[in-house]
Amino acid sequence: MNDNEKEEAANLKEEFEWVLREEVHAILHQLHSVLVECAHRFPVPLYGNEGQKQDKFILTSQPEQLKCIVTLTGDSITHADISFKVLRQMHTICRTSINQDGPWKLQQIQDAANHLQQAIGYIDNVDKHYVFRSSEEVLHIIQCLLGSLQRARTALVLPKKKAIDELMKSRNMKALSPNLPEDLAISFYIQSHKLIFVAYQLSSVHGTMRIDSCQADCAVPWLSDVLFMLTAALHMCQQLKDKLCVFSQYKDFTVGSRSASMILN
Amino acid sequence: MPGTNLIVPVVLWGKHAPTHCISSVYLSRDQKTLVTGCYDGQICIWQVDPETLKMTPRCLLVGHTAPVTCLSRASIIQDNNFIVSSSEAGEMCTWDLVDGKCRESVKLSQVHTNIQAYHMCNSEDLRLFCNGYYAEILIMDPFSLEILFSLSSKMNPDWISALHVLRPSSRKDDVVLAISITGTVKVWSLLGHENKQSEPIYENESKQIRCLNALSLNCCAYNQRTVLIVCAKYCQIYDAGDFSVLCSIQAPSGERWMSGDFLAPDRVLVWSTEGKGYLYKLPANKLRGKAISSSVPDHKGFHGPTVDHDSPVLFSILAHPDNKLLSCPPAMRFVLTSVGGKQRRLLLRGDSAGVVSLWNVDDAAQPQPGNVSSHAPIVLTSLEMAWAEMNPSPVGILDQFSHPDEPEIKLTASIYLLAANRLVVGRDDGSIVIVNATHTVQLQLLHGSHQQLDDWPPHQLLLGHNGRVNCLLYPHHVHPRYDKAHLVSGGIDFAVCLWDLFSGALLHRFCVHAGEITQLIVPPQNCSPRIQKCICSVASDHSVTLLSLSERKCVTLASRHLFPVVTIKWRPADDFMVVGCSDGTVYVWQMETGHLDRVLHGMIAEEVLAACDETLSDELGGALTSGTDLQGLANPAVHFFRGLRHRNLTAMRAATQRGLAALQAAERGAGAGPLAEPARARRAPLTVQGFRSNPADPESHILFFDIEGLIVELLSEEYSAMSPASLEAAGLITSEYKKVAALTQSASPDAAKKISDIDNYRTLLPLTLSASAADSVTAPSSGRFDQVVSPLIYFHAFKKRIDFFGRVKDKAGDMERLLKEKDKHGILAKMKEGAETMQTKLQAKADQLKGHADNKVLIAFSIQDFLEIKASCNRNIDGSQICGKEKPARDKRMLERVDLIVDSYDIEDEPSLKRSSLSTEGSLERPILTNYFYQPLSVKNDMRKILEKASLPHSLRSRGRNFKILFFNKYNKGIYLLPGIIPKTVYQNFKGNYGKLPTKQRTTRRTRKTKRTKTTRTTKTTKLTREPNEGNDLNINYQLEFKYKTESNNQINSKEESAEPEKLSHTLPIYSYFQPVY
Repeated sequence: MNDNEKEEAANLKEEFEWVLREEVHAILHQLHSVLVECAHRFPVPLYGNEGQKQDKFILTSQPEQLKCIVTLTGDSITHADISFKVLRQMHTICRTSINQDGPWKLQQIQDAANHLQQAIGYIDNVDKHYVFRSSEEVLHIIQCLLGSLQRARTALVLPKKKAIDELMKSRNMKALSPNLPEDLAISFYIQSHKLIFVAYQLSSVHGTMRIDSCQADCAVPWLSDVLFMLTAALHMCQQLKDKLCVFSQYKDFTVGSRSASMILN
Repeated sequence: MPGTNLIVPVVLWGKHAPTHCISSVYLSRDQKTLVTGCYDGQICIWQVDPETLKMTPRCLLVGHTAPVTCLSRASIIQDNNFIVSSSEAGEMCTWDLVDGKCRESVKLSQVHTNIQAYHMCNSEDLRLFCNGYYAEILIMDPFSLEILFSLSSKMNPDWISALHVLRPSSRKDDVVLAISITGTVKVWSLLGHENKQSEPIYENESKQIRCLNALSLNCCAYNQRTVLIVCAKYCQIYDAGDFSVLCSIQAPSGERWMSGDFLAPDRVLVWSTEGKGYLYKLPANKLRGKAISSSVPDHKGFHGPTVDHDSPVLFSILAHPDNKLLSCPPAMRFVLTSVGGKQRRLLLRGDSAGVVSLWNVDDAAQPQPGNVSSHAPIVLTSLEMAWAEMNPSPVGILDQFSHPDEPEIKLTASIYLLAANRLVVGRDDGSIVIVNATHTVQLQLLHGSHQQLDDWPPHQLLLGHNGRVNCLLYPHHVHPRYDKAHLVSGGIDFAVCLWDLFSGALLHRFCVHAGEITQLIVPPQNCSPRIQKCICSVASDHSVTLLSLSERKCVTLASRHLFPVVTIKWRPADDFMVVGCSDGTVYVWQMETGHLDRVLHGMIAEEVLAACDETLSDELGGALTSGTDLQGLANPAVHFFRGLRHRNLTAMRAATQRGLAALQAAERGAGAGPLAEPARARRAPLTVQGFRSNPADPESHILFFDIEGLIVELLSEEYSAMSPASLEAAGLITSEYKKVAALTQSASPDAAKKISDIDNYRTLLPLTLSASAADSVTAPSSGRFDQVVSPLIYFHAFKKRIDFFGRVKDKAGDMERLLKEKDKHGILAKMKEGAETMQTKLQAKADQLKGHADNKVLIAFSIQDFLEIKASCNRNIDGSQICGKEKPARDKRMLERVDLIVDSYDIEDEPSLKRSSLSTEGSLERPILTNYFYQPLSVKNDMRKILEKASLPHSLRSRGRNFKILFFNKYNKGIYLLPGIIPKTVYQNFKGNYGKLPTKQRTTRRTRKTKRTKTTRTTKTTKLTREPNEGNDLNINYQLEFKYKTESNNQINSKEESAEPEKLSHTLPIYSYFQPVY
């Protein structure tokens, strides 16, 4: 190893210590503020946010297929007036409603909020004055953070797929008043920044089950903020991880080992 | 093509123990088995001596793609050796601890964080009570892994953060006590007849308490009126009746609580993130219940303000003497065990360094007045320690390069060139070693004179990388359109190097990426001609490039990805490369122009990725179909205009062609499919695959011995080695059979009884067994030959038979020519029969074969045979021959050297090799060289996770069934299949008879090899030269003669035919560049 390489290694080492000492805490702090801000956008009690905010949305599809007026309180639809046309019988209009007693819970919102809270918890667990001694420690925290944030984002972006009979049997469906006929089902879910309403109609054609659906959606303003901040936080995490990985080739880099062995190839 | 096969993996672990950052631990109640799950997804099974508590690693179960979060027993029966594991990706597996097989696996959308196994009333066996990232409690069956029913909440439904199931002493039903993350305590009571169809089961009671994010909840087993709830900052004792706080314990500064349990009515054990256990005595006047003698119901101190002497008192600490730095909180568990009627209470801990420690809680459970006692663990062990204990230490595949006084160079990447039988290994220092695989394996596994030779086996060294070699690719193996000579490597120095295997020269160095190269893959074959000459490389700066090997330049640089690339898929017809990132984003790139066509998120991204699989399998399945695509991607007109806009000729051409194709769709027959892949019909007896549990680890290597391929190889060797005389002698089976049988039956009545038992199973088997009996070996009477073993025995016995009859011939000397002529065909028929039986039996019984120690010995011996024959009798299979080496003495003890072994696993669950499976070249998996390892992408959707852990080849990870690797070492007696289990007689029997095989003595002589070093600018090539040996011609003559004979014989069976190309390859070297230079 010549002098240049030695010098470079020493500089890298110094830089690595700086990253662990200063940069990690700075980025974690920044992440924390982003995530807390994100938590405050949620309409549910979360991390010092007391809100049970209420929003009203109107969902319609173009040829007057269906119409739905929704009140979203927190993570539940507390009130909705739903009407949609039944496909086969052209002039039949099916009406139903959701009321205060049997709200339609959007589990996706609660899941995302819980994952977010978990992520904030990981940062809270790190004492501001704690001195990191190895990159593995930090990488472990980042890995946990990335996992939670990813799950939070996925919960909103990719709604879980459900079987139709599972939907039919669900508690949400049973809370509708009046109850829907057996061949009809409705569903509310969130996909990215949109609240989506779908009406399903089951029919049997030549012995095979057929499902027709029509849907309407509307944008939920706070969701796009939340998604934006989650994505930003994910990106910050990933950058910190990449930064630390640069040093991973020098495996014997731990704080305080500078004078000791520095074997570079 | 048969989907089943018996493959024996032998692991050459190397000097370093695999990284095992423990995420969950489990100790069986009988103290015989310890199980640890790690953040990389592997599960290690340890054998524990119930008396001394000595722990020895036994096998590594590979299957999860994410950290293992929960481990739980599966049955109430003590001897029932099953466990259930659950990972952060929602995968659940039921493992058989005896043979390490995965009995059931399932992937749920619900991810568990905790599982309690509980025996419910009215149920036969345990039920798993699971909670996690969902709002219900799921009750699952541990063997079918089905959700039996779930418990829902009416009041404030939210995730359940902890639960405890118990049966109160006064009641017949089971009670589930749980707390949600927002602090609502709920109680369900179960009668045992719940099922999936029943109405949702809601809680009977619920109460909001001030306790957010609880980590664990435990009822006191000794006094059911108290409950311990642990949160990170404090743990609290609650009254089970009204859930009022009785007392609270703050976490020590700098530490957080993880969990805890009751030791006695008034004593608790709680443990912290630092891996320490703390024992507290609770103030008696605060507690309620019958078990608290000092307390009176409605004691007035219950709800009074806490004064000093009322707070819990710390009296014992369980800690490690050296407080080593942990990179993450250890996994800990409080276990109750009973050995020989003696109950023990233990605290188990597994930490980030892979260290397992165990405290005896009973030692510490008695408070010493006045002082706090500290206790060290009674057992402390880790994989590293197990490795260090082994002498000799576990072998690595290139151990000949390591010298004790030099720092070891870690192996970091490897591929096996099947046809050339070469192993290419990239190392930590930037060098790439190319060596004959059989030779190096033989060197590590078998004792013999070759170990004394310096610098053996000969190797080639490619020097060009500056720093670790991360990945290797031999494109010709993936598709024959690539040059045979090209080898591609990617390193930590951001460079992709193109090598000439013939000359060892560095042809080109691509410096395009801005991060270390992590993966090299081959685009599919139906790309445009220009792209067909490219390989695709992925780097840690999240960039992907297409590097043209013929133009020696970068064709496309796709580098706008914000997150690590986890999957690459292709739409060759549209000239699209579809790059999936870890955040779920999908980037669609035009390959020819390098234009970023679009960026997709969310659902659409998922659909596009899925659509790539569909079109690919459509195309490969037969005619090119059109109109099957989503998002109008394949609408030819749309596509044509898009191509026009981006001036992408290829895309335009493709669109036009597809438009025409759509019109002619009806006429297009099935023959329009893509070209056939190179035939992979012949099974390779040996393949070598790199393996590591963590990306930072050096590579271990798994040798996959395909038993069927091996037997074919051995049989063909056997034929070619037989002199006409011995063939003739062997031909006398039928006439001699009765004589011999009569002789041996009278000699050993015990054996005869056994023989008659097996007699009706295999006509030839009795003969072989009686042959052993004649040698006064008691193999049959050891009672270990069951039907499963028989085929292999038969195989060995087959050799003995030849041997035996050779001797019979000498003694008796009254053979008749006529009979000989007749029976020459006879033996061939028998051989055929034997081979077929072996094959069918092996396939049918592959499952049962596992776990049988005997079989392993046998298999090990066939492997040994193979290695020896391959190495010493090998004629020109790769153009080189071991010179001057006598056939090594037969007393090799392979089993002793296979330090860490070996178990068979079957690929029965693998989807049979379909055409669509050949499309996997496009994914980010490693190039894998044999037909067994091709798998359709659609089999597993969680490629992402797999690829994040790019360390492990996809083929291993995403196998439908998981597999395990056993640790095994002769010097570590007691671990596993050691002489106690192996009938020694069998061992000796085979050993004894090995030396007498009628193999020809070769008069080869090792000549001095000269080393010539050619140095190009950055490349150093080392070649070893040898002279041809004299024995060679003779062999070939024999072979030809034999071939002539068999060809004249109409009874050559299919087995024989399949072995035929093998023979040709012996005489005609395929890879001339591996020819020694004279």
